[in-house]
Amino acid sequence: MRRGLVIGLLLAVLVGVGFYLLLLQPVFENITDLETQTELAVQDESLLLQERNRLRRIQESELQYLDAIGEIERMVPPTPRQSDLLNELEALAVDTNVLWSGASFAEPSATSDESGLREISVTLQIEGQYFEVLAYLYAVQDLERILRVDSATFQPNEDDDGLIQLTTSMALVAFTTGDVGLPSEPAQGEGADG
Amino acid sequence: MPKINLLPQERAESAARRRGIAIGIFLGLVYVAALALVLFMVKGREAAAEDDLAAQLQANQLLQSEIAELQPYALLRSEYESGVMHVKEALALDVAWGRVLGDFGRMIPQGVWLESLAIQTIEPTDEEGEVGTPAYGNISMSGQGFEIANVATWLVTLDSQDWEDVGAAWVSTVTNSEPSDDGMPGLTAWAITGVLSQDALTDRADTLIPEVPE
Repeated sequence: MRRGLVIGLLLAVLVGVGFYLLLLQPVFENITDLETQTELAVQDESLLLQERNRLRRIQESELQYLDAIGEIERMVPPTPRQSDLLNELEALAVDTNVLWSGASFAEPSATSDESGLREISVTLQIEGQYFEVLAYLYAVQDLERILRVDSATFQPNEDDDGLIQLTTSMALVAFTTGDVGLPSEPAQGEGADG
Repeated sequence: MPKINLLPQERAESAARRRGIAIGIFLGLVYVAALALVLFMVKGREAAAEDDLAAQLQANQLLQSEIAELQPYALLRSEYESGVMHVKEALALDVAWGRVLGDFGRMIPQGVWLESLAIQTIEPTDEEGEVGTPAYGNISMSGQGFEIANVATWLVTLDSQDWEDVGAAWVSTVTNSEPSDDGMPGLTAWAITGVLSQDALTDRADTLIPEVPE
């Protein structure tokens, strides 16, 4: 009787250990794994919520974004727009009463590999009295399109009327994100009559 | 009065054994039932964890699809940021030319005058300007004065704390000329170099960039 009891207890322990190892432990491991995955998914949800809310705010401010992008494109146009640049420089010279002797323009060149920004170097000569040249310099930086003056040399000369004229040579930089491009060719067959 | 068992002893032992086996089988069944109950409960936890994960993944998927629908706005933001970067890059070294030239006209002392002035912006280097900051431009100028003292005053003015845009002024040459026979006084020709400090730069990038909600 006592031997049967001992054997029974041993059997129960054996079955219990086998039950734990074969059935319970894998389930516990799976639960831990699932809980870890859920925690990660909750963290992802938080990031996704932030991103969605950010995008919704942008969506709500779409018009402001479009205005801002338009404004920036007027500062740094997507094409060189050299004719506009010429007109603006000419208008500046007229407005500030300086004599625009001439200018030379380099073709757009990339400033760096990454940004896509291109520089148009302009060398410009103007002549005027001190305050006229000063006004020109202020006006250059007031244009809607960004013009940066990189260097300037000023040389005073006396004109026939005894007035001091400043002969000024300036190196300006205008910016664009596009290049000088040929008109795109029409697709093959396009425009062919019959 | 003592009980007298008239049945044979073997029969009593057999009955006790059967009882023991029955009790053993009963306990075994109770034990197995307890194990099954534990397994059932643990499996229930597992199923709940699976449901939680599935619900969470579904919620995430929903958010992802919403984000995918809002992608055009991500592109809009990226276009804006790219434009901002262009403006900042374009105006990284933007000198306030009007102010700088205006200050030359305002600050130059009596007794000296400019015959040439050249200013060129440069990438900041370790060369120290007036206030111990990197130089953002080189200045070279030449002119005349009535006497060396006027040139020295001009030099002090260029290095003055009242004029923070320029500094590190250095007279490279100074030459006195004799009075001419027709009564013109003797003059002092000079050449000075200097640098532009960070104060000469504009904050145009900050003021021009249109702000949008983020």
